[in-house]
Amino acid sequence: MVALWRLLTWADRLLILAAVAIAAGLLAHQRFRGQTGVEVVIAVEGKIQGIYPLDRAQILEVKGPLGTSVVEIGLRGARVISSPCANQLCVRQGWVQRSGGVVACVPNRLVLEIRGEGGRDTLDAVSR
Amino acid sequence: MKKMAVRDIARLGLLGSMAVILFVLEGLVPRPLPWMKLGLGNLPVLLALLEYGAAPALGVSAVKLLVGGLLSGGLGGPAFVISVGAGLASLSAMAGVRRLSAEVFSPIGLSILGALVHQVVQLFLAWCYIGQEQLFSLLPLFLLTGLASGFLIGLLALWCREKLGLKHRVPE
Repeated sequence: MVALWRLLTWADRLLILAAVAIAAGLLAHQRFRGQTGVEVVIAVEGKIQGIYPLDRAQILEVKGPLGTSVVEIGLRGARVISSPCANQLCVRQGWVQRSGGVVACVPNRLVLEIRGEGGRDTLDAVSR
Repeated sequence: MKKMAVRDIARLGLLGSMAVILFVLEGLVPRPLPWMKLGLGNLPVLLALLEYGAAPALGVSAVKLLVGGLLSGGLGGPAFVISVGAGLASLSAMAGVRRLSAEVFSPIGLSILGALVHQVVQLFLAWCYIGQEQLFSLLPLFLLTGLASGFLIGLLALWCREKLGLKHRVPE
């Protein structure tokens, strides 16, 4: 391990430490905002389609430019069950439940975002 | 730009095909989260940059992105645009830094820089498509995985160069 560190120049080390510091800082900031998710915000192309509380289990169909994605909401958070995209990355991500957690389907312009109690002060939507 | 030896052109061709193979194969391996890859396809690009300079490295990268993209799911979709954008930005950063001061960063540092730029641009482009600011909550995770993969690829590049008998030198 030490041998690896020796391989690096001072600039390398600085870069690594800076990256770790930034990542740690961002994580700390996120944690501070509240852990448990309370509701999920579903947005298509930046515009909010709906905000749903996590304490009621339901399955929703969300229409995007590519087609209809099916979203499941429950105590475990939210997830994308099926989506018309080619790579199915959104489906493979599975559940998100912590506050700030995000699942996105880029081809279908769909974003699921979990919000905690303190989450309402952030930007709700960006419409273009 | 001085004329390249045929041998070098042939080697760059090999690097290009290796990049495609590594890129496609890596895409087939099952992973916990889909975008969490080692980026092995970047190893030939880095090797080309270290040995031949920015323009040849761009060639290798272009081959990887176009042929690899073609084989991996089609050109033109958002995934393709994102990978091209991030790949080009990453290479530009590495080439630019190397141009300014070849001794400051080791291949490992260079690779880490490239990986970090790649991750950030990737997130940024995804945001361009989706428009949800909270996408950036993924940034710390992306930075850390980028750091790790950049480090590994850089290490591999050093190892390759050592095995090939190449010494650390300044490109033209």
